[in-house]
Amino acid sequence: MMENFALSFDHSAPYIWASFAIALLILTAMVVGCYCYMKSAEGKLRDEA
Amino acid sequence: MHYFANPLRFKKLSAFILPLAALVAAASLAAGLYGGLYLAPGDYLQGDAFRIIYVHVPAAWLSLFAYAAMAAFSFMFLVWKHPLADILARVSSPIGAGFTAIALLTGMLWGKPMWGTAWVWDARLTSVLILFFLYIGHIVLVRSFDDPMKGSFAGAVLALLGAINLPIIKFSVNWWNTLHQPASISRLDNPAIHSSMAWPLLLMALGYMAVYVLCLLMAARGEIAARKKQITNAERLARV
Repeated sequence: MMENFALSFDHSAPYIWASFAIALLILTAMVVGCYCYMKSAEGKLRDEA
Repeated sequence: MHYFANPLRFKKLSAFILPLAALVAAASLAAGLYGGLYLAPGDYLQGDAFRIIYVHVPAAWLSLFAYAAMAAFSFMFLVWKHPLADILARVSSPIGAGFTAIALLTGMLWGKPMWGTAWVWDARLTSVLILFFLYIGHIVLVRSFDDPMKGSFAGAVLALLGAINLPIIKFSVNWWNTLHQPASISRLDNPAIHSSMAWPLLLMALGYMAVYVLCLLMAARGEIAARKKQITNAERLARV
């Protein structure tokens, strides 16, 4: 079962890891960015009220 | 949509959907990554590099879906002057640009070991790059006017005109001789991908869709709060 494991990828391993890392990084940045924007805007509105 | 134009109703609905979308996103992405990196067999021709499709293909699908949704919101704004449609169209472009960036970058990382080059000016790659520039153009355009309504109007026109690029992207691989391969998963009657490789891809697509919904609702709530604050400030200034 271990022969499929990610660490034993062929010569393209750096490209695979870079792709997954970039995709997850951008997805995380999008979610965190939107969350911070929402919390910041709603917080400012609450502070003024 | 008229029903949810009320900010309180929209906030209530989003408060219900947000944790659900976060849960679906986390579970689908975790299961999809495990399936794609660990359980799916290597491709007989591409070896392990084919696994890049698990992050590339869903991003490409979502980049098109996000633009189609942005064009639909823009249409609703232009026809019915719907404020929520304007807000949703406005916050769609950064999200769509994120998915397009993932599709472009991971596609380049797949192309280098498979094609021997990270980039070729073929019809599919070029039309997706144009889609990315359309998103960037929309982000800049809607924020370029002192009057936000003028920015929204200009952005809506750009979104609708740019929608012509969507069928070009979809059918570019059929209309022209491209290095990029034609569709494989969308041929539901006879998919060119084995089920052992397909299910992690579908899970990843579900996860990406949940991330899209999550980002769209959070950004829309932020935009609603920011607009409310602007109105409150304007009213306060008017009283002084």
